Amino acid sequence: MMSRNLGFVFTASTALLLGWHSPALAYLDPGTGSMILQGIIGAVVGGLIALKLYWARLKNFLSSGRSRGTAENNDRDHDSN
Amino acid sequence: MTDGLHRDPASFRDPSGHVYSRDGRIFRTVSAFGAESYEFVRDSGFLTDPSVENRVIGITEVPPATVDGIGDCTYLLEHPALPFVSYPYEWCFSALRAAAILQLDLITAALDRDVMLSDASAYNIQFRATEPVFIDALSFRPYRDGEFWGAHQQFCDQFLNPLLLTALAGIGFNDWYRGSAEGIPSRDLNNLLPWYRKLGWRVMTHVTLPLKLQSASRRKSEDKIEAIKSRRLPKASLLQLVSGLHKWISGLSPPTEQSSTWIGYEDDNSYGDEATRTKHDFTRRFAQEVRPAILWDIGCNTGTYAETALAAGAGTAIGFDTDRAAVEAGFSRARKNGSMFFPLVLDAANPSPGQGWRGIERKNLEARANADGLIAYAILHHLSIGRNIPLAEAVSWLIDLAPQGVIEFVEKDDPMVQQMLRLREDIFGGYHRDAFMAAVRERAEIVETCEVIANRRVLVRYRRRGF
Repeated sequence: MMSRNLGFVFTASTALLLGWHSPALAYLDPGTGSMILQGIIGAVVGGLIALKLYWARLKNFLSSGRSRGTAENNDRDHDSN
Repeated sequence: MTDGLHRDPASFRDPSGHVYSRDGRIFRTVSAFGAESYEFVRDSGFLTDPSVENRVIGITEVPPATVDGIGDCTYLLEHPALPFVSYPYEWCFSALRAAAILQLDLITAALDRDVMLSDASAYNIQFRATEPVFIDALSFRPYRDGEFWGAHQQFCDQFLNPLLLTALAGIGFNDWYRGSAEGIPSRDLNNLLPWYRKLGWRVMTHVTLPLKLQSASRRKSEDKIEAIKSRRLPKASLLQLVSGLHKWISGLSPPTEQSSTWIGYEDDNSYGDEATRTKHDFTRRFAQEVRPAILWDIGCNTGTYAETALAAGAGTAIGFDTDRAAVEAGFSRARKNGSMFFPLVLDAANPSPGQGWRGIERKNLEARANADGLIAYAILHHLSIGRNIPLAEAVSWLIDLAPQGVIEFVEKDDPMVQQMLRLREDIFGGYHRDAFMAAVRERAEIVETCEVIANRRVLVRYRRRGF
């Protein structure tokens, strides 16, 4: 669900950034747009996973001393994402 | 080429192998190029997975040496022959939607076994009655970790965009699809959709944004594009992309606008219950006696007479009607009842032509005529009076489609024909029963006739000469 919302925000903002252009008639594979989109989704999702990981580490750092084991568990959970 | 062995003219794109037919048997070669992929998929257990097994065409390995002239190949596969080959531009909305769902289901099931589909061509899907079946065994290949869905754009062009054209813009996709053959390009759909439709994040993700990125990529350096393309798409994201499309497409439906002249015709016609019963009885007897393995119903409406023929002994019935809503209703009913009826959208006065590469990649309708029985009720006046096709030509065309059948002739006095002539000059002096009977006799013997309504409607059962 989270990545769906993220997808919406991402698509909306990218569309605004790009503006509207006339279609290209270049020597480009017609799937290029789809590929770039998936590349960006991949990067966004990758970034999100990294963020979640750092956030979990930060939380664990702040509450360090109370439970060292939780950080390891969190790391393992996020690795399997 | 060895006698009787024909390479399918549509099978040339994939270097992994080609499709051949001989005496009704269908073979697929697997080249050295495609062998490794095939072995991986075969051994992955994907093809025998219960969720997949009946949705992909059967595959049996055959020793290549047993088929003369098949040439050099690493593997030879045999597939069961299908009763009829149809094309997406002949399908109704629900049929294309069912095909799209199958394609997405297969991707999900395949990824579970680290298998991926190399393309997303709607022509890789055929129908057994109303059940879609995936026919291209060589579309499956090993999944490469982090790869993009390379066929996403093709999926959009061939499945999603035609469905959206109908669901969101109210335009039946069939004629446009037939014209372009490879589906509806995103650019065309994007130009057509009203602005508020483009605000939806799903339209934006799958239609608008890829187009904009495509345009924008023209101004980016080759290195930048390559850098973006070399990124990874996690498998979970790929699955999410597919499941999002699955959910969206499952909820799409044709606009209710598809009000149809013919959909209520079976209840609201110029003849009563007695005449309808007579037609059903005659159809039943014809099907019982001829037992056609494949029956074609030209002008099928929702297919009630085809259903009668199926119940009486016909094997499979393929219906054709120009009215999309009637075909839609017939398809939905047949799917619900698990019937062997498969209706298609087709204008008999402008049937599907041969097209694609060399004009033979997609066969014309007549080249696919394999019926051994035909019913053509209340269609002749639409061809002869509605479309000015000479009566004898229309009769001859019908008789060419199947060696035995039943054709209905509706006299000019019938209220339905009168309605057609109400606003036009009657230039159809040659349209009368004697001319019809003479046209049938020219090509066939008349086995039996039946007055549906005296002097207004007659059924003629024919048997083609030389059959």
